Amino acid sequence: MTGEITTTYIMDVFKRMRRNPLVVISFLVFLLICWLILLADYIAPYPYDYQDHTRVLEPPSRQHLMGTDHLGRDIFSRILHGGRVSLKVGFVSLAGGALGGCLLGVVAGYFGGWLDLVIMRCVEILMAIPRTVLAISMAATLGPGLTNTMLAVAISSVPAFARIARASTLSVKNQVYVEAARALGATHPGIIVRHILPNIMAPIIVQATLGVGTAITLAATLGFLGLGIEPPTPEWGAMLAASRGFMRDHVHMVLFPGLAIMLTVITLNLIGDGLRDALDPKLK
Amino acid sequence: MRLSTKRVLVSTLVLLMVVTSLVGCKGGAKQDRALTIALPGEPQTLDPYAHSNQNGFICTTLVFEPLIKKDDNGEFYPWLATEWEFLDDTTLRFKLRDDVTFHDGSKFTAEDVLYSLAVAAESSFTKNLFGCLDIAGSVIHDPTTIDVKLKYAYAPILEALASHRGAMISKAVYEASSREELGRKPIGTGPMRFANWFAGDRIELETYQNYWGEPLAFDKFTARFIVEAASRSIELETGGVDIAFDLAPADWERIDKGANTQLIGGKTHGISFLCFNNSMPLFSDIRVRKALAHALDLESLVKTVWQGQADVADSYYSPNIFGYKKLGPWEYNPEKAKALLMEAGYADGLDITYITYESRVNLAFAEVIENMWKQVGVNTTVQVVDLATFTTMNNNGEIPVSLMTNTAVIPDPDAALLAWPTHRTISLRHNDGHVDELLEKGKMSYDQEERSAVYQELQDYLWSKLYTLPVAYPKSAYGASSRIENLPFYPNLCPDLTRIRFAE
Amino acid sequence: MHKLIIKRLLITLPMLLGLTLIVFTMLYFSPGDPARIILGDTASEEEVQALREKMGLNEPFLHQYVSYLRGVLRGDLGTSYQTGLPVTAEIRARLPVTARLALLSIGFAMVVGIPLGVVSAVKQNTWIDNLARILSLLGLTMPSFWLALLLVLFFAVRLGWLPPSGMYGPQYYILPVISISTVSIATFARMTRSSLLETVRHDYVRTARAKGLAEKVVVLRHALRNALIPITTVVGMQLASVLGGAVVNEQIFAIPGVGKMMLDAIKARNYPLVQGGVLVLALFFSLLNLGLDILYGLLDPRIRDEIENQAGGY
Repeated sequence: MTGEITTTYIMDVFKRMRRNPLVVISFLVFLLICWLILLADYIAPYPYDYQDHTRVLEPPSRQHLMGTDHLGRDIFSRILHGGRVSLKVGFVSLAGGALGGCLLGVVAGYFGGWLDLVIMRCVEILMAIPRTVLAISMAATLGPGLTNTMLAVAISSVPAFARIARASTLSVKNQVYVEAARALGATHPGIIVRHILPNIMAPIIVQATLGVGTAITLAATLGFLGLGIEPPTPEWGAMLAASRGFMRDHVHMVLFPGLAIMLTVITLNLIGDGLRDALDPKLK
Repeated sequence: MRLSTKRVLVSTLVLLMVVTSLVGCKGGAKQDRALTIALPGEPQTLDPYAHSNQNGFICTTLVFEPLIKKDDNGEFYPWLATEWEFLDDTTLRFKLRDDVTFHDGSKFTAEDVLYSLAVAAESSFTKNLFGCLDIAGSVIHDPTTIDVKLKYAYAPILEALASHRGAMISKAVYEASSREELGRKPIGTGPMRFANWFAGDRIELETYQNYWGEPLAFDKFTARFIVEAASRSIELETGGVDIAFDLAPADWERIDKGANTQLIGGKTHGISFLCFNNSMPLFSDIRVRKALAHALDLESLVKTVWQGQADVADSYYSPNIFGYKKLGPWEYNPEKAKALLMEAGYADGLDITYITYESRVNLAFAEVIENMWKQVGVNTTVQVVDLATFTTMNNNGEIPVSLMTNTAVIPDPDAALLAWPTHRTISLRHNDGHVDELLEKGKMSYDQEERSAVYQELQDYLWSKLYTLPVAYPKSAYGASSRIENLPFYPNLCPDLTRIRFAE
Repeated sequence: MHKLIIKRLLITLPMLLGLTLIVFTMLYFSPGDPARIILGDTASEEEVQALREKMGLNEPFLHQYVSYLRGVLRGDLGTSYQTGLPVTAEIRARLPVTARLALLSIGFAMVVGIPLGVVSAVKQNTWIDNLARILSLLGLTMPSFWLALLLVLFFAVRLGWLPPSGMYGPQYYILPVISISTVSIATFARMTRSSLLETVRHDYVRTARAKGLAEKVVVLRHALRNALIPITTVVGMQLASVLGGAVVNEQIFAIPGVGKMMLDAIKARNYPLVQGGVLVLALFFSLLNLGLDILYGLLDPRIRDEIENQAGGY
């Protein structure tokens, strides 16, 4: 799965992705979701915390596309604004996890020896805790809040990246061009940045695309369990948690936030699949 | 390995059929003489003097008994004690039944009464009710006669003794075991005795064969712990449990109209109030407290947050407790709120941190007041912590402002005003000696008229000071299957389950 | 073979030691005062201080950790702040429930997911394949807790076929198992499909086909056996997913397992129970993985190599 990232390579990848209509559609849908969410301030019919106590728990209608919740807030508007939180958590925490994981993995793989041993043992310890359990206990330690949720999700995604980065680094560090750079007197950081990193990006990008979806779901799970983000900030998982008490008679409250999570994660997964196939034509 | 696609399909189908055939035998073993209830949480302990949790007491009303009980008309009647009389203001004589035994077979005597009361007077959970007892001064005349001494006249003493907090425990058992053991395997004199506790799931009780009184309508009791309110009502409707406690208002109507269910609900002895931390400079300014109060449309707030199942509070304790005086509700006037804020020097707005813990009402309340305060330029940051953290912070005086609910264990103003003595460590911290004086004056008299007057004066005083803003008198309800009879609503939310009868 | 077992054991033991440190540190620094929690609102500051002293909460961090570790080595995970019971007793009562739930779920996922993948691969690019792939995609992306809510709403409330919560008989397992295993079913189906299609392209299958064997037999006898190797290696990963799913679903279905115990304990700041819960889930997970690895090693040397490659390298 390795190969130097060059402009032609990237063009190739795009060309291959374009040939898959499902990926193109997913990409467009995802862009649409992002667009809706980023422009929520202009698109959402109501502010996310606007409460009309005379119109609580209303079913979907012309005024309220997805109905209202128990405080008389427009669910559609809240889902749009909530998406902002979910995407932010998904991308930021994943970026953090990927960065931390890659750093650990590359350092472990490149330098080897006791550093490798120590880092990978620590990573294995984290891997011994099932990811959801790890995220839950991290969230419990850190307490609720946006930053803490991102941190908990990020930490729980470190091990996977560390392992991938290490394995890829091992496979490229003895390549001729790395040896050559070393012979020419390049420093270790220089080699890592100029030669190792570009060559291990492909598997990491695939893992990252698929990981964003998982991160969004995990953040929603934390929100649902009451370990996530505080009100009145809308968050899809917390919206579902609040809907539990009303789901018997007001199904719209439980339906739409769940669908929002699913749609986002599906498009991300399809894009990730397409990306993987495109980066590695062998696997098609 | 000779598999074929067809075989794989067939075996999958067979498996699915096995699974669905299991569906047929619906569980929730419902025997005629078994009572199953759903509680909103697991008790930490069943030692009646080691907690203050309703879930535990709902179970232990079947295991432990008080000396006297109170009927629906408010009259006390004999239970473990056959007679009682006040010899003077601070001496209370009890004659005890002679035929009562504990679940370990030992006899119940005056020694046990004195021991129970000594534990009650010491326990941090019951001190507020029984701290008045003078244990050293009390005298045991014979195994069935005891003179209980009071340090000072304490009006609610009979109420306290008749409540679930006045449980009679065994001296021998208590002295021989650790508190932990007792909490897990309670031994009392009641009609049911402890059988099993499946951690995280349920507690089971069974009939005590040598019970002195009438046997109950049921001979097996199971209390399941189901945290989610929606799940409790679903269990009730699908026949998994006979009684579901603490139903969410969203489910009331359906349970009430259900063919197989009934709603048992009413006004509680509780009050929900917005507690300002008066030791913080910001809230020590009465103009700020008044502004925040005027900014709230209590009518709309209470209706939305409690979903119509609460009244707007208009004084400092519930109207169904004597001495209550209607004073409010506090006026909704955003203009006045803004003016007061400006006067207090917050013309450019004000930042407030609102800390609460997770519960249906708390979250909704936080979101609504955040919204209402925003209208008058107050910017509220809501922090949701877990109950444990909240309790710690509350006792360290670190909660700036939050909704708190206090449900009186007994229908007496002294219990209803539990939050107010200055020695309490909760974040109220008003540090106003005058409140203490009035509270002392109120509880040390037996004259109802006189007490009423004191408490009315106190309510007036509190209303003028606005250390807390009364918000709501919440209602509560439990749902029961229609075969349950003779279970009235208990405003302290701890019903006496021994009364239950089954419909034919 | 012995080398593999010893090597895996040698990795597992220090890992558990590190685990205790991480778990202990995590909860040491979390907010909330256990003594205040035990004594409640009405206790005075002195009473709380006395209890803190008694519980050893005023000791320095390292001191507390060492005494915790000493206990762990003796099989003593401390006592629950709320019930006063030993943590091991609390866990012993609940671990079987979680274990059963997790194992049933992973078994169910394999029994449903692998055949689904086989069918999908055999009927590649037909409507059956497309349907199976869409279902897998849905299963993979649907949040488990949301699915659980919908299942309860439909099967327990609307139809009244299955109990909505609790764990008192076989029928109580059905909804939680479905909800927990959905992600894994989807994963197994996708893995099986892609790895079958991959092996089909291999030469020896082509040779077999050239010999004139019927198509189905080719696929099953040759391809499936080889395709199973990569599938078996993801079982371990799916175990993690299933255990995590069990934690969340126990909470939704009010099932008295380790997961619900942990979540309840988190809310109550009952450190020892949370520590014990994480520790035991991790231990359970590691031991299962160890067992799986050894089992595979016995079954097929090729998988053993795969595992050696994964675990080795340093």
